[in-house]
Amino acid sequence: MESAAGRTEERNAERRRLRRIAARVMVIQVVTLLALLWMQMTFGR
Amino acid sequence: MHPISWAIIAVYLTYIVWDGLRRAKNTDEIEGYFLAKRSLPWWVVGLSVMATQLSAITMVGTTGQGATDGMRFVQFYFGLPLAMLILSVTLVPFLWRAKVYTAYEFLEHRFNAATRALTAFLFLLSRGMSAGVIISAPAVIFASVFGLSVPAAVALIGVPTVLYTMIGGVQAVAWADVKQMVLIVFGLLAIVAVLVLGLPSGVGVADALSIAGATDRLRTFDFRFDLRETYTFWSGLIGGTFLMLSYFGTDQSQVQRHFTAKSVDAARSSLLMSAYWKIPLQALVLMVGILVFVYYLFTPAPLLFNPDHAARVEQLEPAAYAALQTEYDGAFERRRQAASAVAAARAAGDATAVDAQRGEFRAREAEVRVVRDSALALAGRVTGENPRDVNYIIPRFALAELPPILTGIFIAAVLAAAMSSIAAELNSLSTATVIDFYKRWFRQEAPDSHFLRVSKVATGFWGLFACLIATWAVALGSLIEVVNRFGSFFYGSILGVFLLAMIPMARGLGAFVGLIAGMASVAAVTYLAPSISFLWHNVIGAGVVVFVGLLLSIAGPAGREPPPAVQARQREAA
Repeated sequence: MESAAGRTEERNAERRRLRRIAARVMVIQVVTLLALLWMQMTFGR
Repeated sequence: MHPISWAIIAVYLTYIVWDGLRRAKNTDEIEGYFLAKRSLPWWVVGLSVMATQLSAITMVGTTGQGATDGMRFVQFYFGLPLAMLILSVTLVPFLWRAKVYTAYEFLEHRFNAATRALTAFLFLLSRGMSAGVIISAPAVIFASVFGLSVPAAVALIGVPTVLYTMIGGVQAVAWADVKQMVLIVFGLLAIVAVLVLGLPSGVGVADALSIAGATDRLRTFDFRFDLRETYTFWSGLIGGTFLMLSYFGTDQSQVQRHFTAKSVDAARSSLLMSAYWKIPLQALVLMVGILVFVYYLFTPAPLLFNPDHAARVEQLEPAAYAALQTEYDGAFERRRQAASAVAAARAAGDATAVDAQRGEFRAREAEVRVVRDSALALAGRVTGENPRDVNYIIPRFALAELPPILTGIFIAAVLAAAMSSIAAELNSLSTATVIDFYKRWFRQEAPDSHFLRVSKVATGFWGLFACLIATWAVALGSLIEVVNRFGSFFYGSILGVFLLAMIPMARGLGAFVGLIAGMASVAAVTYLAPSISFLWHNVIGAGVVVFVGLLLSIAGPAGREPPPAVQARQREAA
């Protein structure tokens, strides 16, 4: 029972970590795309 | 070229080969040779993944595209971060835990030998040809720029790469990729610095961007939903996601990178490195091109950037060439003055004047473009070759405008980009040849030393094959195009097979027939609706395979059950 609970806890921890990584990747992409959009709006036609 | 530049290139080539040979000491078993005994840290694998994807075509072609077309190409990569996230929670742990040598080997465990053999064969066919193309593209440019023969330029790139890949295996490839990636990024940043510092007095970075922006070169986003356009936000985000899923998740040249990671977590982190950095890096590559465009507004640029074409046109059509040159000189000077006027109006802070000067600059830029187009058409008529000289802009700039040290570093970086992509392809071609064909069908049991010898011979064979294809690439032009087009038929379809592999109810027969149906659908779309961008072929191929595969698995005759080990993994993954 303990090992099953341990595995579930491990899996949950991994999921949390992956969600954090996914959030970080998305934040970096949004910032990059906003920077490119800003450049387009500021210096474009 | 200056002797200092040649010396830098010689030092780079010698070091890469020496380092590759040094790493051969740790590859006395086949697992070491192909998978580095699954021991590499995440950052080595991550840089190797990025270096493999960044080829010489990126260094000279994409920068040139930035100079002529601006930032919009970056949209092609908008699906990449999403694809990497999806892969890092789905296929990567799935494949890594399967402890296989090739992605196709996994398909036999999951489905059947026929699906494995077909996917591996398609990989060998397309990657074998593409390795030749990856060598030939920079070789043709080097030959023209340095005055070398094409075979000599192919040898300059191919021989050192084959040597260190053949002897050192994947360890040599991955560690060389790390150094090559550092060299590439350093080379790009150094050029940006030189370009920014080299702006004429009175023209700042913001002025340079404003001038480039006047010609639409800073337009990154195109939100039109048009299946015929490759470079739009939606094509990049949706079609690009499927292409990147297929490339990074199922193509052996990439999958083998994350198989070398020491854990699932390391494999995952290595992919996420690309998710973080690919778009900023691609934007940097295009920005180099844009800054070179601005540089050549103030510094006289050649009428034709391909020196070989320029020489032949000047020799065979001297009067027409001289007339165009005179016209070009006048148009260039008027455009230079218009560009300076934009900067002056910005300095004065007069928004109305800035708008007016930007309009004037656009008109003068159009004038230069008309003369250039006439010169290119003349070059096409005289040489009988494709006159497009986009790929020659950056090499010309590096040779003529950079200090010798930076010229050497840039050329070494282009070589590095070419070598890192070719090495990964040779290594993965050898792996698929030995594991999916030789060991599977001809000799299942033999000492490791035997398979190691065969693997080295296979690497050498593919290296020789790629060099021969590269040497005859011009003559083989139409054949290569057919093979490349054929490649786009099955890229999405192979992804579909791997997606099916993750669905428990899918069976072998469904996967095999689905794969053929997927490729046939893409072929039909290619010929019946040729205007649809190839990015959407990946979506169509993957969709048809999953649909047909599932339909046959549910309604058709029962296929082979997945082996118990796969069933256990599926339960664990669920």
